[in-house]
Amino acid sequence: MMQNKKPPEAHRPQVSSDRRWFVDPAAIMQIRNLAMRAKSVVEGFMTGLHRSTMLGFSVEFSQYRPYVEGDDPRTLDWKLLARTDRYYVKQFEDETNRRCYLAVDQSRSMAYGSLAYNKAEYARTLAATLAYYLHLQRDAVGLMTCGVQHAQYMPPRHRHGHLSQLMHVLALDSEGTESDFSGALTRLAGFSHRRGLVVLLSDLLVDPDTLFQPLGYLRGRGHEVLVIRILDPTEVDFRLPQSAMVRDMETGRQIYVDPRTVATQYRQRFAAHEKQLVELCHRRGARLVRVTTDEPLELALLELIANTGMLAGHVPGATKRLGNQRAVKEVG
Amino acid sequence: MGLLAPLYALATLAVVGPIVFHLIRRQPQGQAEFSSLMFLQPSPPRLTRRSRVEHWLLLMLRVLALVLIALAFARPYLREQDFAAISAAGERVVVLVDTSASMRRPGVWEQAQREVDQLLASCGAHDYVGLYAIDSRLRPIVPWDTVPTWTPSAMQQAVRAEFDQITPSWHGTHLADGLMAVADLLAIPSDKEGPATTDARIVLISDLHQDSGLEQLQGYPWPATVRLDVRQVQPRQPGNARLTILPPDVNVPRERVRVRVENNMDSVQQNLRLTWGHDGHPLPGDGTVVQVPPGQVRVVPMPPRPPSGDCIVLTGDAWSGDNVEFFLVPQLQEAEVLVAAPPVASQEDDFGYFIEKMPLDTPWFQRRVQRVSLHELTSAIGTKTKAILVEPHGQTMFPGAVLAQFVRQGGVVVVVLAHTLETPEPVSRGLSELLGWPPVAIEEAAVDGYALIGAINYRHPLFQPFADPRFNDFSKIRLWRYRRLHVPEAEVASVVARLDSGDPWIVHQRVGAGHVWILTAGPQPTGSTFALSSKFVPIVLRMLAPDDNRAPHHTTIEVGQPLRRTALWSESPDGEAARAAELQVRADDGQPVGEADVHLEEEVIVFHRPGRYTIQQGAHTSTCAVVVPLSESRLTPLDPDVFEQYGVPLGRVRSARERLETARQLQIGELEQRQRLWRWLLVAGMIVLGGETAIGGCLAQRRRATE
Repeated sequence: MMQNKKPPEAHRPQVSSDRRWFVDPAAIMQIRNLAMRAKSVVEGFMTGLHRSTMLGFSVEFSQYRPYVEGDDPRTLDWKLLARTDRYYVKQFEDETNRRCYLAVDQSRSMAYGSLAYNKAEYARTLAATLAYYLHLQRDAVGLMTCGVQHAQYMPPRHRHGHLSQLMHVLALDSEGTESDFSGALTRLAGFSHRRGLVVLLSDLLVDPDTLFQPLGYLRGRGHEVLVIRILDPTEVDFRLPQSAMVRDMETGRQIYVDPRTVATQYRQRFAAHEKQLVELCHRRGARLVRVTTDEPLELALLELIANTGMLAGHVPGATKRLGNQRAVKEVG
Repeated sequence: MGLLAPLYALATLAVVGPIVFHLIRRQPQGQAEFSSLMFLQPSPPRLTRRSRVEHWLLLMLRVLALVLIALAFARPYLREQDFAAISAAGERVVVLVDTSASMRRPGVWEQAQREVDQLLASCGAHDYVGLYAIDSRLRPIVPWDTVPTWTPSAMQQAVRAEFDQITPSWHGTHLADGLMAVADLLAIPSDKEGPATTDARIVLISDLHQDSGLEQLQGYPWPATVRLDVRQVQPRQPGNARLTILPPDVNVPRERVRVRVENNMDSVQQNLRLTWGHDGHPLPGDGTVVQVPPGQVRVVPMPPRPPSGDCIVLTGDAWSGDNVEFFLVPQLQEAEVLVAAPPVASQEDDFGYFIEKMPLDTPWFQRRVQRVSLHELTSAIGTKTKAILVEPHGQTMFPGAVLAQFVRQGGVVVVVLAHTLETPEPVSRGLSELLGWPPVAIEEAAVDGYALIGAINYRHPLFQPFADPRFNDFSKIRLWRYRRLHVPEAEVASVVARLDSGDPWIVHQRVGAGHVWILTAGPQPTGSTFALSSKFVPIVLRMLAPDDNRAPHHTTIEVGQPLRRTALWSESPDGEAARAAELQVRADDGQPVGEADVHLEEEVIVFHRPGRYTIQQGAHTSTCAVVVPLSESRLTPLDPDVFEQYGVPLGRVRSARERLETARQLQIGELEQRQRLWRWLLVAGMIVLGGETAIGGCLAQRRRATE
């Protein structure tokens, strides 16, 4: 069982050192339309799959089995019947009722970014990418924004126009408030009556203990939970150029910080905090993935595919319909 | 080297500022935002060795500039002489101590003694000090006249010794008299005092209450070189109440005594008790309780007087010195007024009728009118006869000699020329005998219709009450006929009122102890409208009792108030021998009173102590009650600033040490003003600041270039 393993650190996407296969996120962020960004990432990702062998799995699978009484006659392979006069049923992975809830943190701390774009922009693009990909997979995708004054909630659907509406909501430029991520997750657990996949996109700069109970609610609903922690590279190794009065974007508090003095202590505290998050997610059966904003978006998408397949194997009957087997390989 | 304003030198402590600022690492100029401070701890600015070394020169310049500027404000000077040799000039001080009765209140005199001791202790060796006491009169104790002969220290010792011998009197307060007299003394500097002692000060030690008698200062030009130092002393307990026995009222039975009780504004007590007493001590009994709030007055009737009661005692207030009022039973005096007028047919022509209708009685006098003829006049004059009204007519003889004797003994004679005199010579001769004049001519005046009052001497006691414009309208009095009296030139001043023709209307002449009045027209309606006028009654009453119509011979007077001997007895002592007899004053216990308590003069008697006294001269005896002056009972304290309203400059007498320090500061100030070192220090400070600015600018420019 996965719960018995003790992950030493947050999972990082296993990528090749050769990043030329992926599109630079800075270039992606240049595209103003969020849907176009998602489409660019996903299509590039799909093209890369055909070219790359390193990933080692495919989502396409089909088989024949003899027709037994009681099967839907519509599933008969009429061409094979005409050619061989035998009754076979053709099975393929073409339908799913998987529900995916995207919870995107848009609090003030997400507005931080040392690159040309900030974490919120990155998270928004990543959420759009995931939504587009899942939509292509005919999954129902929902959305909930957190850390804003007027939170938006879109229940997971797969219908015409839903994706564009979801993109529109994601593209809304809303002013963030102080992060209340745990409360948002609790509300999400109350909204989502049917189990599915919950993808949380946040920097998780909160007290880990506050997430313990909301994650328990989500898991209690039967959801798979994938936590994608989005961080700026500066936040990981604390690269402040010089001494300055540093203002907390969440609370507005100001302190004087000399990076030479506090960098080591920062890293130690950051590591301890992340360790607490990993242990928390491990105990709650969630998977934590850390993504920095300078990493390609495809990696996160890859992580989604890999982890959801992995998690699906441990949660029987969570996403699959009978007779329609989907081949997923675990990664890592 | 010294500093004129050494406190400014404390500003050099400001050098700590730049030193600390140099030791502190500079605060970051920029600000940065970060997603969360949950992994960060504030790292405060630290002292670094690097900062001290790097800006050493700037630090020194800044410290130097601050020190120079602070020293400039401290006004430094270089000593050129020994300031210890400076001596303060002597002052001229006169202590004017209030010794009135109110200073007897508990705690007041002790406080005054402390004030004098403090003043003498603060005086220097060159200070002249005089001592005067003031109550109702000014008494020199250590007179200022001794300045030319005494040394300052001798005068101070004399003041210290003499003040212990002074005790407050029972007199009232006339502070203005004393202040003006002492100020006049000090305004004239003596030769010995020298030019250095031009200013003088009066130290007034008084309780300074509302009736201290300061009003006379209003018109006094206070000397500019004299300042007043008021040291107000306060009693242990404020407030006071005073009782006054009211004179009997015509509407109140004479045996009921009414008392007026006045409570001072600053009194604390308002529950007072009135009791009948004997010899100044209350008799057993509850007495009468009266509630008088502070600043209020109550009039209360006393219960019937017990046989032994001779005074009323007030208890319950803060001071008992003025709480006894002796009660003297007013003895009704009987007087006789003789009217010698011819019989007439109608009342309109009867002068006596109008006299009989006049209210001649007072609470102390009961006057009886008796009609007599001129022939019976000589025999009708008795011991109780106080006034005689004579109306000569026809050819009747005029008893001038008899009347003259009567007048010289204090009687009053009113001669009314109401009728036409067929032979005026007897009247003229009689008037000459009465007045001591040469024979005066009397003739009937020719009146065209009527005569009016033309001129009145309002300074005369007879017309003084009518001097006010509200009462001086005599134009309604018309004279139908009158007699022209030719007053000798030497006696013109005796004419009190004249008619519009210039002829006399009323003539007054004092003869001996009495008075003679002559009316040249009859007041009755056949002669004039005078008897019908509202002026008739007050004028005739003042004619009949010109000396004192109100004062009874049994009287209550205040301490210090002169009592005229003529008001002592109802009947004049008979004969010169009786009047020449020695006058003796005895106290209530029968013992003769010494000169300390009573002062006998030829005409008046002045008492210095309250009490009841018996005055005896020959066979005549009179009783007199002496009380504390009423002004010493209204003791609400005054603010000493009231002297400013009278133009009196106030100024505290400074101690010798203070004056010495002032003289030293003046010397130092003059020296510093001459040297003016602060200018050079300020210039040097500015130069250093300029250098610091230039070096700082270069360093900043270099740093920017490096960055």
